[in-house]
Parts: sequence; C-alpha cells; structure tokens
Amino acid sequence: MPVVKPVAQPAIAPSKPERKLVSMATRWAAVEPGKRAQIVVELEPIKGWHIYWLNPGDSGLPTSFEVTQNGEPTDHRVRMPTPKRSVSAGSIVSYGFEGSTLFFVEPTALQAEQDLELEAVWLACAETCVKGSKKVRMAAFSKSQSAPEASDLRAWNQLPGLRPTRWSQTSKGLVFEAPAGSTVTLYPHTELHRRLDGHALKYCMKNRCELPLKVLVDNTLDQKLWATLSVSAADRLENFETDILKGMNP
Amino acid sequence: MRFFVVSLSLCLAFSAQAAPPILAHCGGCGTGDTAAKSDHMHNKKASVGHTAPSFKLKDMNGKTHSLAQYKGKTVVLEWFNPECPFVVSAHGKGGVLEKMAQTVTSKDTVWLAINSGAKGRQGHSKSVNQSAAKKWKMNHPILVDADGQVGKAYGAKTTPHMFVIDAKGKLAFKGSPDNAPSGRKGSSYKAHLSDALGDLAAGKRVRKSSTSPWGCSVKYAR
Repeated sequence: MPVVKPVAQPAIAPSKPERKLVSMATRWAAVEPGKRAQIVVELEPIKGWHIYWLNPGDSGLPTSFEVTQNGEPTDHRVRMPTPKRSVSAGSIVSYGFEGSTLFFVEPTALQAEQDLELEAVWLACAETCVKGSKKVRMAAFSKSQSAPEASDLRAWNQLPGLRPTRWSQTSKGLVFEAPAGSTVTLYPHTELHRRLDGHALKYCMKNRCELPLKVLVDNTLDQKLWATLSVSAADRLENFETDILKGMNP
Repeated sequence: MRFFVVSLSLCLAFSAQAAPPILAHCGGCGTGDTAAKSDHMHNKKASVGHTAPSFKLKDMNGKTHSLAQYKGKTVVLEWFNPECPFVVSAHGKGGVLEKMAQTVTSKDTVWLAINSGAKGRQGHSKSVNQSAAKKWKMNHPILVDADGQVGKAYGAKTTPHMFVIDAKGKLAFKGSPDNAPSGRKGSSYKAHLSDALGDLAAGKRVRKSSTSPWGCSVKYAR
C-alpha cells in the first residue's frame, strides 16, 4: 500500500487578495440615433454594497468620472439613472445604486483618432465604506463604434430627461403637481438637498410636491436648484430632471 | 432587508421621523452610569443662529463634560468615528483636520469630538478610539454618545460633521470642514470650518454658516 506523504503546509499562509467590491466594464455604444457614440460604464457593487448618485445624500461620496486624452482632462457629460433612496437610523438619507448600474459618459471635446483614458471613482458602502477607483484605456470612438446592446438602450431610455416643469409659487411654497392618480417622488440634487436639510421626502405626497419658500432664501442664489422627479402611474413611469427655478417660468 | 428597498412603509416611517427631535427630560441626568445623557434638553434640533442644544456626556476616560461648563468660549464639536475612511483621511497626513484642533484650541476655544456610534457598530470601541487619539495626537476629549441622543439633537449626519457654538451658546456653523471630501484640494477649495472660526475670532458674523456635510453616516443604534 503506497504511503501518502502529507503535503507540506507553507509556514505563512499566502495573503488574501484584496476583495473586489465593485466591478467595472466599459464600452462604446451609439445609443442616440444619428449622434456620436457614448461610453457606457457599467459598475456593479457586490451584493449588500452600494455606490452613490451625483447627490449622495447626507453621507457618502458621488460616483465620478474623469476622461483624459494625452494626459489632459477633456470635457464630458455624465448621465446617471434615477437613484434609489434609503433612510437609515438617525434619519440619514442616502441616494445610490445597488447591483449592475449603467452610467453614460459623453466626451464633448474629443480628438477622434486618439485613445483616451477613463477613470471612475466611487465609494462603496455597506456597514463600512471603502473608496475605490479604476482607470481604463479605451480606443477612440471612431475605431470602435459598435451597435448598442439591448441593455444599453433600455438603460438609456430610462435615464431622466430634461423637461420644463411648472412649479407655481403659493404663500406656502413652491408647488409641483403631477396628473391625479400618479405618484411623484423628488430626488434633490446637492444644492436643493442642502436647502431642504435632507428632508426632501416629507415635502411630496401622492401627486404633489410642495417645497418651503426657504429654499429660495439663500445667499447663494446663483446656484441652480436641480432635482430629478419620478412620476409613476399604473401604466407608466417617467423620470426627468428639472431646475425648479427655471421650472417656475418654463 | 435590502439596503435600498424603498417601500411605502419606509416612506411613512421616514416621514414620521423627519420632524426635529424634541428631547424630553432624562430622568438620570448626571446620576446614572450611562455614558451619554442629554442635559435636560428642551431645545429643538440644532439650528444656526439659535441656542445650541445643551448636553452632558462622559469622555472615553469617564470624565464628564457639559456644554454649560464651556459657556463664554467658542466650542467646536466634531462628530467622530475613528474607523470611517473620511475621518482617517481628514486626520491623516495633509488632512483638513490633521492639526486644526491643536491650532485653534486656546483659552477661548474648546474642541470636543463626539462619537455617537452605537455599541457593536463601526468605530464604537474604546480601544479603537484611544488608539486613534494617540496616533493622531488628539489632545481633546472624545465624548461618548452611544445612545445617539446628542447626535440626533444636533442633526449630526456624518463623520466628520462639524458644529461651532459661539461664546453666547448659539450655533454659528454646521457642515463640513471643507469642500473636498475626497481630499483633493482644487482651485475652488473652500476651508469652511476654518473660515467660520476666523469670522468668529474677528467678531464677525459667520458668512457661510451652513454647508453640506460629507463623510460616513453616523452609526446610530438601529
């Protein structure tokens, strides 16, 4: 009977590789007919973890992107989906994303024939938070145009669009009303979030939002008061962005 | 429950919680063994320009501190969690809070860190706090608010969330130490806390008295 020799164990166990909390994939996709392709950045935190929207809420850090070409930053526009909202102990409001989430990055001043680098920076949180980032090199879009995947088109079509909205001013505040029977949810961007002291949720009920006039009384009125609105009804869901100041006089 | 499940019940629960907390008398103020006690607070949630909520808390060494004992001084409150990466970055080399407490503490100014993390949650343990205090050369006390009463009275959302109380006991500033949560100080850098303390020291009204906090959420009891 052969003797099986025990396998020698290393004196020191190999160190565990750093846990990957967020995976990232990038691709070009022509999601708008007749327009230049955009970079689709797919970020996916592992189960139980989340990353943040452009307004992280009361805590956290916005997910951000930087595009460089020849080492120089280039102008770009980022489109994010409508976030999910959570409220944790202490009435701490967070806006963010779980699971696979598609962001659309549109470089606006790109030299078509040159490669570029895209860096995404995020904060991934569960009970604890870990900062993360990844930089990738991509071929210029003219070399790598590709038909969009169905998931890209679906995500693109669900992005909040820009739309004039009518906010009326009453003695109590600024009022937005969606059609009866629908439900409106307000996701304030950073400046509006600050002026509402984080309590956006209490100002919307059913199809109506009424923001207190105090949001207009501030020494930094030069800042725009953006919000993303989500109006849902039995047969439809519409997400759109609005500047509530301009929206008062569309 | 998944982190981001937003249900109607949650919405309603939040709506109910959203009202500013009014803290009732605490029967055992100053007499119980509980580290954190509100000090007969009748104040509503902290609001700039109004009297800051009073409190009485024990520090990590068991010494009691009350806001009242510092009347006549400027008091800086820093909500603290030594394991939050934002706090680690802010107190680390080149961080916005690396030397600020030592710099501003004087006979007229007091700096108090407050840890509202609940037992069992990140950054709560005494040893972790003491270790961080030593590493970061913190000479000021870390007050224990494990039941979160003081944190909620001030509306502390993040670590580090900063509050400045003027010599008259009124809240003069609340917000973030600066506008660089990632630590990258660009051309539009604003040192909010430093500017507020500078205004107060010069006898001026604080020009930017409220800014959006950034950081980790305060780890209140669930």
